[in-house]
Amino acid sequence: MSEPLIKVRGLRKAFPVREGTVLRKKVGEIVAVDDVSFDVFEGETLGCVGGSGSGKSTLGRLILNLIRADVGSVQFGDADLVGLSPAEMRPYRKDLQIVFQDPLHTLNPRRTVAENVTRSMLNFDIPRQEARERVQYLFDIVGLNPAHTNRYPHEFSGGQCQRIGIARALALEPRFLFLDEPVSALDVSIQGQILNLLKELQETLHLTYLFVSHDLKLVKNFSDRILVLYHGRAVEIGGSDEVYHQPKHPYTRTLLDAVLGLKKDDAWERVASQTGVLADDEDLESAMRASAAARTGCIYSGTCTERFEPCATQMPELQEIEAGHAVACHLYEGSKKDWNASATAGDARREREHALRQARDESARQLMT
Amino acid sequence: MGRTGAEPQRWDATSPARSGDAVLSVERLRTYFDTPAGVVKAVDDVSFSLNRGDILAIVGESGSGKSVTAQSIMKLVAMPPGRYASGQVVLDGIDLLSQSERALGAIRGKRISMIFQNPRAALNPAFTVSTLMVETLRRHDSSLSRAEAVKRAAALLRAVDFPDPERVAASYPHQMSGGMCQRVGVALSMACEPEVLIADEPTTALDVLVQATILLLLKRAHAERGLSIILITHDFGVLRALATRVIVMYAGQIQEQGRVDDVLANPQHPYTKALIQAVPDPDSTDQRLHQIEGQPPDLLNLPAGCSFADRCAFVMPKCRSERPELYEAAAGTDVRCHLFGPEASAHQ
Repeated sequence: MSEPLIKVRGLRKAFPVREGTVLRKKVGEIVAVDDVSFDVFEGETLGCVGGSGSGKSTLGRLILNLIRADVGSVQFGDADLVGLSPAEMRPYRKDLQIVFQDPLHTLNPRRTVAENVTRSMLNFDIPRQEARERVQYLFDIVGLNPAHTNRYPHEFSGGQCQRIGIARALALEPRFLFLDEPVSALDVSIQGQILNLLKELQETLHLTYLFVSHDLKLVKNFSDRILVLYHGRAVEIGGSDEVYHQPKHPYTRTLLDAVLGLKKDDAWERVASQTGVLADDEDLESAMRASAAARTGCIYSGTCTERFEPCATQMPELQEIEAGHAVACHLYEGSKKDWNASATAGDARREREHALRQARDESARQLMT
Repeated sequence: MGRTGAEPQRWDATSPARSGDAVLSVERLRTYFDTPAGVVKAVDDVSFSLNRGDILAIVGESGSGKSVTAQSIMKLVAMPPGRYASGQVVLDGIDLLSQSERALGAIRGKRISMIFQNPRAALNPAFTVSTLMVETLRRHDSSLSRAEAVKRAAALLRAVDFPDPERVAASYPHQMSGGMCQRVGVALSMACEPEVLIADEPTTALDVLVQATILLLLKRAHAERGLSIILITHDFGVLRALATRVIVMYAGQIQEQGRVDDVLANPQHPYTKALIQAVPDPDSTDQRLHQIEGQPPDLLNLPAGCSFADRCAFVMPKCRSERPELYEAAAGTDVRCHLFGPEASAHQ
């Protein structure tokens, strides 16, 4: 395997929750990313998946130092990016770029697309003439007509705007792109075009990608490795085939069961009736509570169907169980026991589900009468 | 669908046969928008019927007219710039499009209700969930006392799996997650026991686990209450999970319609085929995806012939000049494509 381009170690970010209008007293915090460590290897695509609020986007922004991390390090070359001031960060900005989710709203509507794309080059003192020529080249490689550089963003379709967003990200010849849900705002027929373009560019320009998406089918096909996040914790990381076809962590398995494919498959129903209700029942208050309480035990133990004694007291560390496949789960610790053997867990859960179902049936009966 | 191959799409000849157990039927609906740049035919001659107890999915990309079709059924399209150029939406013998706003007020939410794509935006941020639910309940049943309505609201919230309905009832929309808001949306839409539910991209804004819970709620409502559902989506996975019948739309027209099992196993229209191929296959080792060439159609500037001709792999000279009708391609499947026209079928 190639060398790591970026080494992330022990990264943590908590956002304060404040109350009141004047004093804005801090009443708690939500831990968005907690003690996450992984490498991004040169030339690879690392896919990052997780539910909403799992910290996927925050993680990417922490790496780019767009948000300041509380603790941890992001090693890029010889430098640790965490804690660098904007001025100190400047030399690295060229190498680390981002493609946003919403292509239209991240372009300045009052500037032509050429001006949008050249802006960063002018910031880095590339002569105007050279920048202009480079826009022509960039338009060509992202599959847009170079004659259209003087148009405005609203004259382009969503897919074309995303191509412009990619051209802008490539303007400074970066080595690393953070792709933050780059196709989720696009039509199905256009998604393939954009992702295939990104693959081509990766090969010709030797780019490294961190690809965030909530569509697991896309992540599986597009990525070499997959990182699974749950409430800011890295719970599993491994080759995309291994993670997709032999998921180890109970959360990864649940997540994959919920994916809807073209084949008739009732796994999603099982998942929805088992874990869905609890996984979804999250407002700010309960998220804060979970944030504080679950830090003592495993972050997933509240929802896990396979939890047993150690899960309540200790957050498992991410540890390699096969070559290149690491998982943070007590099921795989020590004896590396088979997860099937732990069927005794989750009795309390089942009771709660039963009570819920009864309550539901009861209210359905009330409604009928 | 008692239409034969060569016959053009004509509702008067076929609607009696089709409306056998139809709870809702849409007949030759045309919804146009008058814009400064010209007339946008967002829905252009769409006919279908929703049978009692069916889950009918309408799939398509942005600009295909699927959402405008849904809004037209409830007569929710803003006029102007929108207008209903022709057509009827028939519920129990009543044409909804010719009803007054006052008459529609008794139907919307009561007999046909709707779930929206953005659950948070669909709930008024200034009121608690309890207020919203009580208002809906009492709007359609003036004999219901406030206390009774509150009780009913709690029962409805429990039915969408909130273990602690009182807490949710006292919450404002911004205090809840997207999934919770959508469950409140489902509870609200069920409040008055509607016959028809229109779910417009109900899970697009949600992550996969939450999506599964919402789909299960819909499936349960369908099974337990005999609800008929029109499901608007762009996701073939969602369609596979819930729907029994499917309509594929492109450029404001129905391109293919049939049973979900048939259409997914054996898509006929080149566009449907391409869309299904574009769904990423996790078993594939190829990192490249199937892509559909070209751009989505410009509704102001549609080609004279088939609207998909520019992107179609099977394009023939006829496709550039003549707009295809809906032809029966296989038992129970209708396709708008010259490949299945009367002349083409002679070759097959």
